[in-house]
Amino acid sequence: MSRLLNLLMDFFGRAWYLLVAALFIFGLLGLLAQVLRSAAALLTGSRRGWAVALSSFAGLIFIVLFGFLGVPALAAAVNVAAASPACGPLASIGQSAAQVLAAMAALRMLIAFVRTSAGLAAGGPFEISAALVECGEAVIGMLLAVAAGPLAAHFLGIC
Amino acid sequence: MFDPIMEKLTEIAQDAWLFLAGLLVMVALLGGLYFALQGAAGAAFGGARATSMAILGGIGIVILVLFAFLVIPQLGELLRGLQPAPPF
Repeated sequence: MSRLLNLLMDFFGRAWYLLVAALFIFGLLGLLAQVLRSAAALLTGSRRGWAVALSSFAGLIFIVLFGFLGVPALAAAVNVAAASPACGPLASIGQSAAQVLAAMAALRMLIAFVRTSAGLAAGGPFEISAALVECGEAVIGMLLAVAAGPLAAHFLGIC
Repeated sequence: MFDPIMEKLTEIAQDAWLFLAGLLVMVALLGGLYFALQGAAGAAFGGARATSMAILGGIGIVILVLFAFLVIPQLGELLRGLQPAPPF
């Protein structure tokens, strides 16, 4: 069981590094794309295009910073919640499942930010709200999943 | 498993960076030419406002290109230092 958990965590760790690198790459490309867009707006005299490019530039920096600083903090908080004491015959399985769920929630949050930054780098609309909503979904779903085990155990009278 | 993906992603990103940088240089050169033409026309026909707008536009283009080629790599270095380890 422990070996399987280590294997899964190693896999998730590698995926985390890939996603962080993708967020970094798409963030930088997006910043350059926004500068290009603002240069084009300056040439064509489009004030709206200039404003959109500037706001997208600032938003992209926010997205990358949130992905690098906010998501690990949220994931660590979820990890702490997942490490709550369990009981009963399936306690170790529950703990392992909670760790795996926490890792998947962290990856899902990071994927949302990677998708947003990739969209911005490709010239798409600025949709940070979708990424933040997905973060909230991941955290709430994770907390519900962690709480389900102990609640069921208490309900069944196991502990 | 993720290493080939990472290599491919890096390769594509380098190509995309070069493409965007080249496009920015082209846009800036065309913009410089456009503003030079606008300024020359303004100066020839006595359009002080057109000339001053052309000068400001040219300066703006130069600032944008300098920003892209000097500030964004520095931002990249800053962000590279902030890359987090897996929190699980």
